[in-house]
Amino acid sequence: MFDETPGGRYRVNGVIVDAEGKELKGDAAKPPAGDSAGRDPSDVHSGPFQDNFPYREVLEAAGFADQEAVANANDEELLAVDGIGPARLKEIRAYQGG
Amino acid sequence: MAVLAADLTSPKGELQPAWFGDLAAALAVWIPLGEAQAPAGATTEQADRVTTAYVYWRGFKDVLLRAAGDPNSVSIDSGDVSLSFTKDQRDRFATEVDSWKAELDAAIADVGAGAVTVIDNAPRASFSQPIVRAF
Repeated sequence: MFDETPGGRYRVNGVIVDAEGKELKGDAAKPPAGDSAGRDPSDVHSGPFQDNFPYREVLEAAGFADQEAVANANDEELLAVDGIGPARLKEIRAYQGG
Repeated sequence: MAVLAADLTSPKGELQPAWFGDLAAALAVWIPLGEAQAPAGATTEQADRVTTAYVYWRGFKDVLLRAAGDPNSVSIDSGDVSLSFTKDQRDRFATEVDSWKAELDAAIADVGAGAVTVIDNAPRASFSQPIVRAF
């Protein structure tokens, strides 16, 4: 089992190693700053959904592909989503700083 | 006669503004969505029945989703106020969600069947007691 992970790290049989195969532990084994895709965690307006984006699953199920799609949607479009009401809309907007 | 926000909002309707952040904004979206649920050929009465059921289903479900959880009592922040729901109250909301979904399905089905049904808009006893305010 061999998977590439962000930051030039590799997962081999569940162990994180560097490009030379040396096992990495502790902070060295963690992904670089940003999330698993190396994104800027403070960017809540573009790119794929952050892991903690409010109601991410609901929005994805409704066809919102990424954070930008949500940022570009007006309130009416978000309220039309089954599972999004006024309070949740407020949370989403607050998360995006709106 | 089209369904109006006031028809669905307390005291005339069943949705309490305090359960939501901005109920008026939600109704401005949910009512047209409800109207769009009515099959072609629906009479005004049938379309109103579909719309009413759809909006109540969305409204009660919105509250239930936010109040969902394991604790016996949970607070939800609706924007301006915090409300506390006991498990019994959550259960009643769940019942409302189920009943309005069933009503919605029946209302849509009845359009095709040509049935005419009188909507029971009487206030429900289960919500005669105010939700406990936490703070």
